[in-house]
Amino acid sequence: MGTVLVTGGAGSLGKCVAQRLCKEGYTVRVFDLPKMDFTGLEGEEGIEVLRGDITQLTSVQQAVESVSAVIHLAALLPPASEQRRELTFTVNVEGTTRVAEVLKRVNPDAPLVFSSSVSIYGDTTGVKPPVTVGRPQQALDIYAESKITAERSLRQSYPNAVILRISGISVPSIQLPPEVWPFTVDQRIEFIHRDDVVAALCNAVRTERAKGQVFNIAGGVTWQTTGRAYVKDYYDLLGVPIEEACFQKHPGWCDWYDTEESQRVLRYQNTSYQAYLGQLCDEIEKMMQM
Amino acid sequence: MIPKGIENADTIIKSCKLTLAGLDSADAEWKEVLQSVIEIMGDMKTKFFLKTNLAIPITNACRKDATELQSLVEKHDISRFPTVLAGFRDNMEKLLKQAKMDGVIIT
Repeated sequence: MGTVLVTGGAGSLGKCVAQRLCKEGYTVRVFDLPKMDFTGLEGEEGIEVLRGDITQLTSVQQAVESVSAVIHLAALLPPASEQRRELTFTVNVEGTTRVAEVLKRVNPDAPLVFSSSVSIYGDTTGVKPPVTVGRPQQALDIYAESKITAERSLRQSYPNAVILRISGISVPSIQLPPEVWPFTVDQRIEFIHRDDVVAALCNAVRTERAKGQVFNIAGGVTWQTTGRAYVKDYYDLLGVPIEEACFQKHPGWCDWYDTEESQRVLRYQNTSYQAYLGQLCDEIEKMMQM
Repeated sequence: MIPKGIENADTIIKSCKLTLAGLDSADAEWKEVLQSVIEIMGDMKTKFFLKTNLAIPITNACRKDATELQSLVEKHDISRFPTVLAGFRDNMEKLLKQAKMDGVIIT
C-alpha cells in the first residue's frame, strides 16, 4: 500500500493511528491544523506532516494527492462542537464531503475510513440492548447531529467508505474526572480502550470486506458495565469515595453495543476492561513514585 | 474521613502561618514565598487531585518541609532556613505540576 492519509492526525487518537501504521511499514501523511502539536510525528521516518485546513479545498487537494487510503478523523468534538454549530457542520460535514469528493476524483477505489460516533443513536436506555447499527438515529447534541449528516453525505458521495461508529474511548492514564459524568448512575455503558480503537481504524483501512460497511466499535462484553460501576472502579483506584462523583440526571448516549460483526471483520478487541484497570494501576504506581 | 492530601494541605497552611508569625520584618522575600504557598494551598484544597491517593507522597514531602521551617523558626535557628525553603519551593512546584496547575507561580 502507498501513502495513508490520516486527517486530524495530530490529535490524540490520530497520533496513535499514524504511529501504528508507520510501525507496520506504511508511509503516513498526517494532515492537521497548523496550530496543532506535531511532536512525535514530525521528523519521524515514514511520516509526512502536512499542515492545512479541512475547510479549504486547496488544502484538502494537497492532502489527498497521490494517497492510496484515507483515515478521516478530523472533526470538531464536544465541548467545542456544542458552542459553534456552524463551524461544527463546516468541519464535520462539509469537511468530510470534501475529503470524499476529492478522493473520488484522485483515487476512486481507495479505502476511506470515517470515524463516526455511537452518540448518533441518542438515548437508547428504554430499548433492550445491545444497540445494533440498524437502530434509528436521534441526536442529543450538535456533534451527533453533524455525524448523522456526515454519514448520510458520505453514503452518497463515497458508497465504499467504511463507517466506524466509535464508543467512548478510555485512555490508560490518570486524568481529572469531568465535573459531571455524561451518563446516569444506572445507565449501561460500554467504552473501549484507545489501542483497540486504533486497531479497528488501521484494520478497517486494509480489510477488503469492510468496504461499504457500517460498524459499531466498542470494547466488547468485558467493558459492558454501568455508569456507577465504571466510575467506582476509577475512583477506587484513586482512593476517592464514589460519593464525590456527580452523574448526569438524564441519560446520555451510552449503551451496550452489538459489536459481533465488527469484531469478526476487524479483529480489534484486544484489551479487556480488567487489563485496562491494570494499566491504570501501573500508571498510579508510577505517579506515586515521582 | 478527611483525605490525607487535604489533611497535609491544612498542616502546610498552619505551619506556614506559624512560620510567618515567627519571622521578623527583615525576611521579606521568605515571607512572600510563604504567603504565596498559603494562598496556593488554600486554592488547591478544592481540587480533585488532593482527594486522591496520588496526592499523598508529594503533599507528605511538602508537609515535612513546612513543619521543618516552622521548627527552625521556633528554635531561632535560621541558618538552614534558605536551604529548606528552596527544597520546599521545589516540592511545591512538583505538586502543582502533578495537580496540573502549571503556570501558577510561587513568588
